[in-house]
Amino acid sequence: MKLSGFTLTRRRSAELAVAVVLLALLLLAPTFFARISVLFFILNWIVLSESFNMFTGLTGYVNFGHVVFYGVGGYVSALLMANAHASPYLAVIAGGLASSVLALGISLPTARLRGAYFAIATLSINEAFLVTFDSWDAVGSAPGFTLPISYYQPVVEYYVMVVVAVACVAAMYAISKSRFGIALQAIRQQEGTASSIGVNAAYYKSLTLVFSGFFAGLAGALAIWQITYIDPPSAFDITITVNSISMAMLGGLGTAIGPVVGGALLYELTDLLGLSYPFIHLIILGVIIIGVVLVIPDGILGGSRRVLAKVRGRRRSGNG
Amino acid sequence: MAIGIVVLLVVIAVGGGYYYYSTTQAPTPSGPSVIKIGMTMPLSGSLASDGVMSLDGLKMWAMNVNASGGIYVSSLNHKLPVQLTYYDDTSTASVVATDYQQLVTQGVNFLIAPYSSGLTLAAAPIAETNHLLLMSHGGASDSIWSKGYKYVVEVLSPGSKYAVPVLQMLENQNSSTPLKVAFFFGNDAFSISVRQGAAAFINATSGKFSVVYNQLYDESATSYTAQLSQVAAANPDVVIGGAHFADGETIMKNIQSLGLHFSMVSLLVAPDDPHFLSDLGSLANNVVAPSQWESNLDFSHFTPYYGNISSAQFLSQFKSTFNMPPNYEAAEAYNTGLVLEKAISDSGSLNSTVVRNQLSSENIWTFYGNFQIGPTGIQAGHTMVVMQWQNGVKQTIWPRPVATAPFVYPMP
Repeated sequence: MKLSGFTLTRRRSAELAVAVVLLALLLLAPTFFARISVLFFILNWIVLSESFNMFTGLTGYVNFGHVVFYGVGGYVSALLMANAHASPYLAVIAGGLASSVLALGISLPTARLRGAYFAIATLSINEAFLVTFDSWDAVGSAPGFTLPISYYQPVVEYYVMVVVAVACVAAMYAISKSRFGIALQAIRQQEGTASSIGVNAAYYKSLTLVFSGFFAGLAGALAIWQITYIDPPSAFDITITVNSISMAMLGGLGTAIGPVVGGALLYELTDLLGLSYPFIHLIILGVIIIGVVLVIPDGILGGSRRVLAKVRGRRRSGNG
Repeated sequence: MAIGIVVLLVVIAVGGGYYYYSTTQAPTPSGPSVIKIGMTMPLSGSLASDGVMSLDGLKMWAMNVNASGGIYVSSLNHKLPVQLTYYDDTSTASVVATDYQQLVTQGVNFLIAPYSSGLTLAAAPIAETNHLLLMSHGGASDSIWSKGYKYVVEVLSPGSKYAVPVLQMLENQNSSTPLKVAFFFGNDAFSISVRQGAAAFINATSGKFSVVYNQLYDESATSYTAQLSQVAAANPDVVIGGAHFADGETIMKNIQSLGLHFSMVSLLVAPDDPHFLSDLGSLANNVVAPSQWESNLDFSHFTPYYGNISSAQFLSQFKSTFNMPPNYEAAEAYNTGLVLEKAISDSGSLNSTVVRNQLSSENIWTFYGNFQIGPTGIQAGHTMVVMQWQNGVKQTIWPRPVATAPFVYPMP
């Protein structure tokens, strides 16, 4: 079946059906699942790891300053809600836009850096923001600030989170399948060669970082709307970057679906272990993550593909 | 096929999670058999040592209550044991948000706040929207009680009260000239609220003090020699400041290495910890600190006294139960249990709104001191004391009625 340039193969039909079912479950969740904040934060982590994946998975450059987009998005939206009593929807969008502008600012001096130099340059950004916000009175400095209780609407926040998560995954999927995505893959595989045939690597990297920053900023804005409290150590917590990396790598870096799987599984595993074993959950989690990384270094998606390829190979040799 | 496997994994995860959360939800029996008290504590992460100490205090309270048969609830006409449900929030606000929602779905009757102001602020909206009492034992920042929360009640003295008894004690020295004070506090919510309280007290006492230095420091720094040199250049009589444990010890080491001398050094939190003496030795001597509670305090002659436990008994039982001495975090957590117990007992109810209203009219003494709250739920009755290390012994030096030794001033 063909729909204006989009071929509806059997595989795509299955993917579409799965997506529709999952979306329906997400939309109905508040009616049968009381602990809606768990689903909220699963989706929040999916957006964080997907937005990290959007840049790192496609370009091959590791952004260790990913959490600054989350923090700045959170601060901008929280300041608009707390001080200007802005609509939370507008505040969330403003948070995303502010982080995308920040991403553009960061990309200007760093987009031409290659290899490890980009990673080194982004390493220090988080600390610089943490120290700045810690002593900046206009943004609440070290004590931080809270949102008025009237803003706390967990179910509304959840539905906005669903929309943002779907948009983020769809954007990643669209980018990875577009000519823009092919250019990014060329940069990832051989930047020098890509540049020699006319691919403007700095431009592509900058634009991708802007997309990544936008979605991470939305995630930060939404998280603060849910928590209703923000301060520099929680907004610029380096473990947010580390978790984003872990989730993207666990699911499968460079794929649209990888961070969805990695984010959902790792967050829920962390949550369930935390509830069941309050004193030893982090040890158990560490052992599980090390085990997974050793067994399937290319992530759950890559590992499942390898297993399937082996199974198909055996079938063919059996039939031959 | 790969998509199929992925979907299967997601379905297993979601299904497993749903099964877990649905099976851990509270059944609805004909009547309650226990009083369910829920909380998260930072059992890992940056606040782990405080969280574990607080949890131990609460565990010991629950153990003692249940040993006596529980709390009498007059509306049910019998005693009910208490059941603590706790999770590790990993010192993270987002985990607090999800875990307190889990506690709500499990049908807890009352909530205890996590340790620290930031985490308490993360738990407050959930308590408020679900009309559940949230007892704060380790969130001292005054800002918590300026948000209009009706269900958040403070058991410990707020940050703004910390430095007040130290200043009262200095005021009592009858200095003929204004005492020159250097404020040298850490840059965090708690320390800033302490500084604000100290500044307000000084502004209210005309001509007794003059602030000659007033700067915040970065708690994560490994040395404060440059800022302490600036403090010394301002020529203060006394230094009042600090934040937490590690920075407090570093300040004292830097004061020694620079060869500085002040008539008094008062720090937050660090001197209260027994490790301050074991780490610094004689350098700890004569250092002063405001304290929420000390083991040598005895309030048993105050009335009405509640709890069947004195400070000395609390100290010895805690030591024998957990093989370590308690700090004031353990004491304030135990006391939170006591206060909740009294309000449940007096109101005869397990309804959070009823018990919250009862807490407004409580004015009691326990081994921890006085409990009485203001209209917002902020603690108004409890007062800080001042401790000083003297020849390797922790002495309470202020207020005078509870002092175990006189204030050594100026420092030799």
